[in-house]
This record gives sequence, C-alpha cells and structure tokens, in this order.
Amino acid sequence: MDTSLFIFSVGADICYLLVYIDDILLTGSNSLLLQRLIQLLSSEFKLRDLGSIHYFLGIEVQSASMGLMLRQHKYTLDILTRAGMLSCKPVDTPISTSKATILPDLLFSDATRFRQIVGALQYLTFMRLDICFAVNRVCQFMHSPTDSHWAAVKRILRYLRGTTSHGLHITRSSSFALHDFTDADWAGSVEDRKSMSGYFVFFGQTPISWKSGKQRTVARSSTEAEYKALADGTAEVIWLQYLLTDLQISSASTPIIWCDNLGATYLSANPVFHARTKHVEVDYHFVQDRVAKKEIQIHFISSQDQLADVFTKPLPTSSFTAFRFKFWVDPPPSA
Amino acid sequence: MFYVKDLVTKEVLLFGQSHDGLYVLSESSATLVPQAFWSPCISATADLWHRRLGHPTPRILDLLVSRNKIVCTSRRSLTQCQACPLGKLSHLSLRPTGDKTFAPLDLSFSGVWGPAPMFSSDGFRYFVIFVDAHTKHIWYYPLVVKSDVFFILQCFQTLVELQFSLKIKSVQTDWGGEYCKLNKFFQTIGIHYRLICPHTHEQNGIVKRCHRHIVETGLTLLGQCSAPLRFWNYAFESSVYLINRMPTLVLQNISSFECLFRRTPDYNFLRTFGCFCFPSLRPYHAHKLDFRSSPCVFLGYSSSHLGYHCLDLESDRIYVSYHVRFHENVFPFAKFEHVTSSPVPPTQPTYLPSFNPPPCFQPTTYQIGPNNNSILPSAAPHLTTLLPIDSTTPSSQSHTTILSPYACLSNDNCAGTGSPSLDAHVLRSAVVEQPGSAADHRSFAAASPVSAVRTSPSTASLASLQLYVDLSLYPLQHLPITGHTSPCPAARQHPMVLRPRQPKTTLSTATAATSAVSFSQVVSLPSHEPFVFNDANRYEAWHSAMCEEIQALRANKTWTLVSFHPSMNVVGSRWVYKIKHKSDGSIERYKVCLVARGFTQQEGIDHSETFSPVIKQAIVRLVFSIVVSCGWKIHQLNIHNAFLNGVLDEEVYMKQPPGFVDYALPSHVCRLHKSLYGLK
Repeated sequence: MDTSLFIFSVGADICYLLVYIDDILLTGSNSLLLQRLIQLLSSEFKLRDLGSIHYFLGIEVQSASMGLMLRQHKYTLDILTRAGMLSCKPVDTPISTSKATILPDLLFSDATRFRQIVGALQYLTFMRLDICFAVNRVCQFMHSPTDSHWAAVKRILRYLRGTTSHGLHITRSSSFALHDFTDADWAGSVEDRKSMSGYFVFFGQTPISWKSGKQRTVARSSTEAEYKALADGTAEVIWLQYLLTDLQISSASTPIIWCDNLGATYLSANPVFHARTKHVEVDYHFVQDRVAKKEIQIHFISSQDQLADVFTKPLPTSSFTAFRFKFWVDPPPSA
Repeated sequence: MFYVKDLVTKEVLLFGQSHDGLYVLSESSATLVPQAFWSPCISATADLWHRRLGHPTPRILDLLVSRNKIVCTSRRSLTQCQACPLGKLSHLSLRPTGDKTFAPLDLSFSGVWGPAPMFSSDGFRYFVIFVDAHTKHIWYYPLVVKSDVFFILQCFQTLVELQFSLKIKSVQTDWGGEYCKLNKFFQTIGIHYRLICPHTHEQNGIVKRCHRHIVETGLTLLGQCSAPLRFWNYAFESSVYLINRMPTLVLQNISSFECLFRRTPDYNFLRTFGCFCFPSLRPYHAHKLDFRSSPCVFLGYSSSHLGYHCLDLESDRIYVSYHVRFHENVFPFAKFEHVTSSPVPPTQPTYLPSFNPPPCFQPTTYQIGPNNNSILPSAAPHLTTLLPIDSTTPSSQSHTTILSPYACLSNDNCAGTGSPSLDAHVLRSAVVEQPGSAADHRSFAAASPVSAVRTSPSTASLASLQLYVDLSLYPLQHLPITGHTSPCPAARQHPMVLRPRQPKTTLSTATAATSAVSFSQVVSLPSHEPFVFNDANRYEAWHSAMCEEIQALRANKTWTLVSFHPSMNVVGSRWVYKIKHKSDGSIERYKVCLVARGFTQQEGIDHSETFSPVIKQAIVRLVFSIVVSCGWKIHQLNIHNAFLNGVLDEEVYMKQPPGFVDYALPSHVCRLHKSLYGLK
C-alpha cells in the first residue's frame, strides 16, 4: 500500500524495509533473516551496510532509557546558522499568544530567504511536533510574507535555540492501541475566518502521526469545525489501522478518537440530523459509518486534557510546557 | 705626383710623390692639415646617422660627432623621425596641474580599491574613498560590489552637502565602469565631472597615494596584532580614522580633521588596534548568572556610534560598546596564531563563559601523507610541535576534525609549550581605561556613516563563521593542492581518452605560504562547495571524487557515445559538489554528483512519468515505535547511486560531462541507458 515500504515475512518472522531514495532502513524480528536479506540486496546493488542506525535523514538516533531518542539537533543548528540566529535569546513558546495584528504590514524584503527558512523548518516537524502549529501558521504566508510574518519565523527560531536538543522520545509501550486526539479552533484564522484543525495519534505511548492545518472551507459553527477535524482524524486512524494490518501488528482494541466537543461526539453516535449540520453530510456519513461498524470509537474528553490543542491555537508557556511533557518531546534525561 | 682634394670644394689638401703605385704622404704635408685623413665616403647627414645607429637620442649622436668618431655633414636634423615614437614613445613627465581650491568640496577625488583577495569578515570585497582636495580629508566606504559606487556617491554627496553647507563643485575619477553612470547624473545637478585620461592613473595620484596609505597602515595594524587578513575592512576603516587625525605636512602640520572641522581631534579616545578588551555585555544576557563580559578583540572605532568594535572570539559576534576595558599590551590573535595559525570558533557554539575546554572535546588528529612533508609551508612546524600527527596509520585518505579554540588552548596546555592560558594574561596585564571624547567622535560619526551601507549583521556574521571553518580545514585542503600536478590514478585507468586538464593551482602561492597573506588565501578557498567545474578541479579532493564518480558511471554502463543529430533534444550536464558532514559537524566525505539538466526535457518525448520513492514520516515513526516495543535491531543501508540503477526506456541524450569529454569524439553526445540525477 505504500511505494516505499516493503514487507517480507517468512513464517512467524517478518522484516520491514523502508526506502528513502538511496537510504534504507531494515528491521525485523529475526536477525539471521536480516543478515540474509542484506546479503541478497548487496549482490544486486552496490550497497553499504552502515550498521545499526545512528544518523538517518538528518535525524540522530540515540538509545535512551526505555527506548530511543530521535533528535534533529544538527539540523536545527544548521537552520539557526543559516538564519544567523545562533546567538539569539531563547523563548519558551514558539508562537505568541497575543492576537495577531491585521494592520497593513510592509512586505518582507527578502521573500526567498523567508521561504528557504520556513521550508527548512517544515522538515523539522518530522520529530518536533511542538512547533508544528507555529510552522504551519507561517507556511500560510509563503506567497507574500510581511515583516510581521518574518517576526513570527524568528520567534520559532528563538524557541528552537533554547530547545535544540529536544526530540521525540520513543518508549517501549505495552499496548498497540491507537489513540487519536482531534481538535479544532473554530474560525481561528484571523485572515479568512477558516478554522484550524489538528489531530494527533498515539501508538501505545508514542506519538506517531500529527497534523496541524487550516480547514478547506469555512465552518459555520464550532461543532461543524470539530466535526471536520474529527473526519480528518478518522481518515488518518483508518489509514494507520490498515498499515498496522499490513505490518502484521495485531491490535486487539478498537482505535479511540478523543474529541472535546460534546456536540460532535453525540452527532457521531446519534443519527439525529440538525438543520445546522446538514451541509457537512459527507464528513458526517464518513465518520458515522465507521462508528457504526465499530471500526473506531469516539469519546469525549475535557478541554484541559485535550492534547491536540497545541496544534490548533497558540498556548501560554505553562500549558505549552505541560503538553510538551506529555508528548515526550523533551531533552534526554541524561542531558 | 698625386693630389688629394676635398670632394665638395675641390680644394687641394695634400700632394706628394707616388712610388711604385704607393701614395706616400710627406710629414710636412700631414702636420699641415691633419683633417685630410677624413674619408669622404663615410660622411653622411645626421638623419642618416640617426637611422644607422638604431635611432639613438640626439645627445648620443652629438657625443659621437664631438669625439670625431663619425662625420656629419649637417649637424642637426630638421625633420623629425617617424619611427622613434612608434617604437619608443613613453610617458611624458607630469607637470603640476595648478589646481587651486578655496574651500572644502571645491574638488573631490574618488577611487575604488579592490578586489581584495578575500572577502572581509563582514562580506566586503572593495572600498571606495572620497578625498577632499582642500582639506585632504578621506571618507571611506566598504563595498560588496563595485556597482554600489553610484549609490554611495549619492549618499556621500547628501552627507557632506548637508554637514558643511557647501556644494560639491567638481569630482575627479577615473573612467572605471562603476563611474560611467555618474556622467549623466553630474550633468543634471551641475557638478563638474573631471576625468583622468584613460590609463593615466598618475593624474589621479592623490587617490592612489591615499589607497596606498590606507592599505599600508591597515596591514601594519593587522600585523601588529597578527589578526587574520579577513579583518581588513576593520583595519582599513581604523586606518582612515587615524589618517584623518594625523598632522600632515601638506596642510602645514595640522590634521585634515582639524582643517575640516576647525577643532583638534581628541587623541585620548584612541586605543591599540587588535588588543584585548572586555566590553560590558549585561544587556545581552540570557539569564542573571551570565558573566558580565567576555573576552573580545578591539577592532576599531564605530563610525556611527560613540564606541568601539569588539569581536567576541567565542561567538564570532561584533559588539559595539562604549564601556570597554582595554589591555593594550595583549593581542589575542597573536596567541591563537602562535598555536594553530587561526582562531576557530566551535561549529556548535556553546554558552560556556570561560575558555575551559568542554568535556566533550575530542582530540584533534591530522594525518599527513608522507609525500607531502617536503612541501609543508612554514606553518608546519607549529602543527608538528603542537598537534599529534598520526603518521603510523596508512594515510590513504587524510581527514581532519574541526579545531576549536578550546582545542587550541587545551593543546597548548597539554603540550606545555610555555605560553600561559588567556586568563592568566588577563590577570597580569594592567587595566587601561580612559574616557572617550564625545564631541570628537560624534562629529566623525556624522561625517562618515559607513554603517549605513553595511550588509545586515546576520549575513556578515554568517560569512565570518564560514571563514572560520574554512581556516580550520587547512591541513586537509592545503596539502593535496600542491600534489595536484600528477594526474589522478583513477583517471588513467579510465578507458576514455581525457583531455589534458590544466591545473590552475598557483603553485607559487601554495608553496610560498610563508607570509600570512598567501597562507590565508590558500586556506580560505578549498572548503567551500564550488559551483563550477573549473573551480572544483583545482582541488585534489574534488578531482578524485569526480574521477571516482565517472568510473562508477562507466561501470554501470550509464551511457554510450553516439554522434549528434540535430533532431535530438540534448540536455546539458553539470557537476554538483557537496561536502557531507557528520552529525558532529566534521567532514565525512566530498560528494560529487553528475546531474543532467533535466529541466530541458519535454514531456512525451523524453520523459513520461516522474517518481521517487520517499517514505512517509508517520511510517518511519511507527516503525521506530514497533522496533522499540518489540526490541528488534534496526539496520541502516545505503545504496551507492541508487537512483542510477533505474533503466531508461525513453531516448535521452546528454552532453558529455564537463572535464571528461572524450578526446577522440568531442562532438558526440551521451545516449543514456540508466537514469541520472536531475532527469525527469
């Protein structure tokens, strides 16, 4: 189902082969089988076995307590060097909570530089979900950045300066259940009043998939916005579910989607149509079908515990730090 | 009986008796008229003699005549020789112009200096000066490109005309390309634009003399503190600052500053260039326990502030501060030079406030090939004495790790060469602190706002950081250059007949790297990623990488040579150079890639679909998570030229790679069978 993921299974043993153009990751349950596979590959191609993983696609892999630490430390420093922000003063959050100004603003003089830096930041969200929302926000202005947008980019860079060694801490998890947190910020975008939606999927205890983005259409109510986010999250969970089946990882439990809007939660379970929600029919049916088939469950979660908040709105320092702790995006314990 | 007569006058000069066909001259007749021995057959006009003797000057001709060596019938030629100016016209002596100026700005001279052999630490390559003929005051502006002159001149004009309430009346420059635009501009505002005759720079003698004065003073300043040459801009700026304040004979022993501003400059503000200093850095602090200052090098006077430029050696950042404490007898650059020839900041800057080596410091090793020892420059003794040279390991591939100032100091301390650490110097040296003069400095700031045209500080510091790293690569890059003259062995085995490459390395520069100048030139070049083939081919590292790549492509049977037909859509090819770094910033390898310029391909003709296998990020994270939970091992493989294994179905033609054109079939093109980077 994916063009760059290859799965090879012999009896109970299984190998995964991940291809990124000429970089390959190979893993599997049986180390003898892996050796055989490497031999086979090297007879076909000119191959270098770099041994166990330590640096892959700009990601530094370190073994930490109870698992692996994935960081983009060098890449972060490279971006800071390129932007000339190596000696800037760190801040605690990547985005300011104060209302964004919509005053007429001067166009930023060097749009190419803006695009280069923002493009580089986008790759950083590979392992840094904490800046995902902030980067998405500045990405929306690639076509004509202004000075205040550049200030927002610099804010992200200042945040990164203080957190260069942060990364994703992947820990051993006991269950293989998928938990999806979806959230929406209704009419959150000042420019066009579209809503922001974000989702965030845990596999066991590890965050594996996340997204922050502006919804394509304007939502008329917060329930509608939440419902669209819910549909996005559902699509992702279902894809991951298929992927896990392909990878022959069996998960006993049904994926659970956590949504902090009661209306949306009820709507997904209860086929009562409301005049206000009739235009979200496709999303509605999509989610409802899945719930009816018991492929997913949708549960309510209070807004305080809603983890996907960080993908939809700027947060103050205290709650941001708390979220970051839950995401396992933290410096390694040894540092 | 015989007579000797003058041929012209027919006058009888001699006579005598002939014996047996021999004309015997009697003594009496000989003493009578000695001139009779002249032979009329060798007499000629002065013009003829001038030509015969190879066009000597009239003075030589006169000399020969007066010594009776030759006979001229006419003493002086009236017709001028045409050939003389053709063959030997030289410059005439220059007479004083008689220019009289009555007030400042009556006449200004301008001239561009450059290009400097290296970019300055803040990214400049040139400078332009304006000299006022009346007061001899110099205004200095650094330039990134020459074409900035037009803009700078307008800035200068606005500045001085406002400051002195006088108008620029005339400007003299050479007819350099950067000044061509000025002609029209001056015409519109009524400034008399004086040009020197083409190629007659002596007419612009004032500017040339000023250039020399600035450069020589600047080099002296750099020399006194052993600063790297890339700080030339700071040195030159300081030179101009100082020159304007020096009394000069031309102005009856007052300074040009005094002449222009009618005030004596304040000399108490001055400090020794390049000396050690501590600026107050409280406002820059990240937290309350940061040290109040950090060790810096004094790099001249800010033109727009009343303060000093202080270069922080750790972060490579320039601070402008008024609150600076100087140690004018200590020169930090000299210390670093002594140890490693270059101060190198860490590539991953740390916030360590002192010069203690961090615990993560890795010992530096250089492997120097045995054949290179003979041509080591003078810096080599330092390296050999202070750095461990691992000559026992086979040096098929020399490598280096980046040297940090911590490394320098720790090496210094470990080796016990006797030079104490920087902190010790600081403690010993006396503190010199004198308040600057506000009035003096402000007036200067008003008159020369150099900083108005500076590039942004971020790019400047970036550039200088790059250069720092450049310097650190010296042992790796420098050594192979000199050995480049022998062709790479890989190239010899290559079945293609290769065109002879001209190694453009200036061998003299490389070998004669005894002076600081040539040292920096060689060092700062190779570690950048070159853009064009000719640039890269000078360096052995890149050259051998290209040879390897060509070999790999040949072995892969990537293309065959076919003769060119006009109906073919031939895409270009070029080399792409990339330095691969490890995660700790050290150099892993020099990667060279031959790419096709696939953007000239046309859909349907030579490409149909594009495809590249890129894994989704979520899958990577998911797999990592599974691996951790199941406790599996994870392997990383790298396929050499993975993309190049793709077989091409379409007919794609490419020009032969630059530098590796088949000697026998230069007009052929490559018919690609396998894919190349850059193709669609």
